Amino acid sequence: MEPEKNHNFALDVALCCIKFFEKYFGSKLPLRKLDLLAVPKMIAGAMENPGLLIFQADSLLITTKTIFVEKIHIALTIAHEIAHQWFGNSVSISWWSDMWVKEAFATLLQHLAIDEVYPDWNIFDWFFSRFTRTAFKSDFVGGSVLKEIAPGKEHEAFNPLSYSKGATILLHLQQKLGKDTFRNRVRALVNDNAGNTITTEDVIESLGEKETLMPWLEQDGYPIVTVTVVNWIEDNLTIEISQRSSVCYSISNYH
Amino acid sequence: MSIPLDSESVRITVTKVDQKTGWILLNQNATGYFVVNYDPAILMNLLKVIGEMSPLDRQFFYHSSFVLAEQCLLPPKYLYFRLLVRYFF
Repeated sequence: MEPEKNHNFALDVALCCIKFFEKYFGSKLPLRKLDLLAVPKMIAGAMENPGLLIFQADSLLITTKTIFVEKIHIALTIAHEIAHQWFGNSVSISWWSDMWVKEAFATLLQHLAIDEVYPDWNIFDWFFSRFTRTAFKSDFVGGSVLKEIAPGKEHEAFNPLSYSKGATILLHLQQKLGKDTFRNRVRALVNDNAGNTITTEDVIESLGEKETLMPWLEQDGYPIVTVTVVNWIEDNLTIEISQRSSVCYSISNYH
Repeated sequence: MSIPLDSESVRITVTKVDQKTGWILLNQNATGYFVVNYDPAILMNLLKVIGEMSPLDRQFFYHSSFVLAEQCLLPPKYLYFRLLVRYFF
């Protein structure tokens, strides 16, 4: 017999996340109700329909046999879909090529929420191994976040670069701006555009960091930063730090 | 310390870095989207303190090394294997 599935953990996480996001965005949950529905099977892990989040049962319910990593996955999935109630639903995107906007933000925001709800999980260690490394892997032969999506090819918008590389670049930006400034700009972006759609350009303008963001979003690959010792005299170390793109190193020659 | 890398290369001097044991660590907390290729002189000293790094810094350190080894940028003869040995013991 299968162990009994339990929804208490999901409910706890959902309530804590709603509280977190209401504080983060400085605005109430856009709809008055939010149902969480588990179904036996679906293509995605979960879907953020306004007011009715649908999850694959394994991404929502726990049993006595659920292990810790699965709980992390469940908590992050719930946080992700709740983040979409603001970023994705209340503020939506204009076209498939803007998909990275809502997915990258929801991916970063889910970690910010879980980091506050479960501080002892050190969720950003997980972020690195699960998302940043995926970004590097997908980006090995080069992949830009900004991608034209042709009609009929909409499924291409859901790629690891939209989620992982996008979120990693946003984390990078948060580090540069500081958490509070970053939050204030995200808050303005969400609250000023509630009920509307936004484009990639709107986001970049709102975050006010065009010069920082564009090269990261547009270009293929990632920088390889090289540290060379120029001289090391007694305790004084002089180094030269230089950068090159990973793309020019792509291994293509097999003989 | 924050160093804007807005040109092809920058040169800085760090004081109080002992030649036998001193090291510098870039991209602390792994928030930057790049990998770091250290000079062997620094890398050798970093190898000795891997165990003292935070889990996140250690992950990033190994991640960088694997990426660099994949791209043939890490001298494989000794460094790569020393890294692996450090990981297991």
